[in-house]
Amino acid sequence: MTGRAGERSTPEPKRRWRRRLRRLLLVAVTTPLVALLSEPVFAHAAALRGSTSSVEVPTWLFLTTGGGTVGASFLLASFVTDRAFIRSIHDWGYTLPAPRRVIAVAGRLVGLGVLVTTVVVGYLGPETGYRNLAILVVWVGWWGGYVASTYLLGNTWPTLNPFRTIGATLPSFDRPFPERLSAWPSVAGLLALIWIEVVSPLADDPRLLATTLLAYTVVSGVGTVIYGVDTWFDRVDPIARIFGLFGRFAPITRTDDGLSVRLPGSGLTDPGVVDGRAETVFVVAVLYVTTFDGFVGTGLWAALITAIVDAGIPPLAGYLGAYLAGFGLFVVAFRWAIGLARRFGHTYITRAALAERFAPSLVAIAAGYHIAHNLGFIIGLLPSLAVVGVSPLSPPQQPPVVTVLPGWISGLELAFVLVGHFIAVWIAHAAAYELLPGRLAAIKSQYGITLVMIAYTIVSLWIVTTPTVAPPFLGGGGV
Amino acid sequence: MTATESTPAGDPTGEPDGGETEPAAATATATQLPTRVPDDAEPQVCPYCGFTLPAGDQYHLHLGLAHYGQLDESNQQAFREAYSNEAESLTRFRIIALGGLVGLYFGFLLIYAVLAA
Repeated sequence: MTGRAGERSTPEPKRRWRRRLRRLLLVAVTTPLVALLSEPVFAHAAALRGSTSSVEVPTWLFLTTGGGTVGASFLLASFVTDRAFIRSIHDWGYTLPAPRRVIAVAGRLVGLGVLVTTVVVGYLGPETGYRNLAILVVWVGWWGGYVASTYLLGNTWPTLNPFRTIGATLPSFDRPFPERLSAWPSVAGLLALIWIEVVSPLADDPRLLATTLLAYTVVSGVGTVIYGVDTWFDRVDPIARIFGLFGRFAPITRTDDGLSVRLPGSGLTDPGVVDGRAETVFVVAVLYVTTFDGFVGTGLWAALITAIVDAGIPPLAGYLGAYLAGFGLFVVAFRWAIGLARRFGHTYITRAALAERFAPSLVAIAAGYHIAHNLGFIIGLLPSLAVVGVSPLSPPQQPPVVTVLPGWISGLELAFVLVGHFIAVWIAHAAAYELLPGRLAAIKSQYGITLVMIAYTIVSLWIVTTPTVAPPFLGGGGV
Repeated sequence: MTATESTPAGDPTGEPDGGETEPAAATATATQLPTRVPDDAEPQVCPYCGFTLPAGDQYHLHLGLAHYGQLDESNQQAFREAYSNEAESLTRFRIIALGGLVGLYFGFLLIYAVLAA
């Protein structure tokens, strides 16, 4: 998203050379990736997390089928060129009465109660992760189940958010938020949170988790005292921002007239969902961190990080370097796609403005990937959550888990990845038709973003179906 | 390389959905976005909303979609021509897209059939 000023002062041959170099880099990066992904092993497409059935299809074919399906959905969408029809689809919806104030107060109390219980049990409950309610509430209940509700139903976080409830009771200086910071603090905060989640034993150690929750409360408390509760949670807090984006995907939304019901994803076609360069990068970051979280659990990552450490680089530095390099790769790929949109769309609209309208489509992909990544995990540990929740301080030695999931669950997971991409292709299609006067130009403007989506489908399907291994050098961190 | 940047948002005439425009204006393209014109390009600025577009078909399509009611006869004619020109290339694109879909479908079908054998 940067470098426009530099582009302006670069002479023509140098620019052409740079473009060639960029292409070379792209080939250099993607070739080994495809080669690694297409090892002649058999994909255990249905063998997620211990289920026994497997599909006897070579990995490369399974992955390219997924990519081909997304490409086909773009070709199908290209047959719909009637602007009025495209818009009428997104205008579909009706309104329900809004919940009463009492429910909002109850929601705040529930959110606060869950936070307090989680922290107390985190410190006083058993030290074993899978027996401690704090771990189960945060990772199964909240990060798995609740996050899914923000895009499947609607964003209830502004009401439930216990950090906001606490912040609202504090006095505030209401200092103006520096405009030049834009959404960059959210980007940095999100990258930092997921970084901590990946490299620390946050998913296993209840004491550490409780301390982290307290630290988060303190940080957002200080933030609200300085900038005010609305400014902090609307502009800085990365978690509130993610849920805000997921809420745009959700079929139910809060409006002035009450609760409005719409088609899933249609809220993402509104202008102003993403505003400014920093928010565009934030959307890319949301997609990236969910992907990285899954990627560190693959054998490819284990081999990669082992090679890095063998080369004499400290493990944590290796993790951080690869983490940031991957993020850079995602940003560059998205920027490249938007550059193609500008060229093939025959438009003078700036890259930044185009990116703002194409970026929301990635939210649908992130939602689809999130549910695919977490569904089996949630179902597997839901009995534990229920049993440990009944007696958090003296839970059974072995809380019940669902060890063998029915085969169709993994099929469902793959379906969610693909459905997320289909909706994303449609959102990009609708955005192109809102921006560009030419119907053919609008179709061609989606070439780049479609290619990026096909590549991402292949990568995410591979991550979801590849056997999970513990990330090396971390001592049990990561989910 | 220098480039001109403009934000038509400040333009007082920048409202595309004026009362006297055709219903088509309700489904027209966004005109309130910042633009950046490359040096070697020949841009055309919309006289109604100040939006900058490449001269030729894109410009006429924009005029017709966003301001049809305000156009004179020759510009309306140019819009209709641009629109039907586009329809032709759109038909060509659709045939290729259909070919692509058929190719994808049967390509994968064949590969699966060969592997299943």
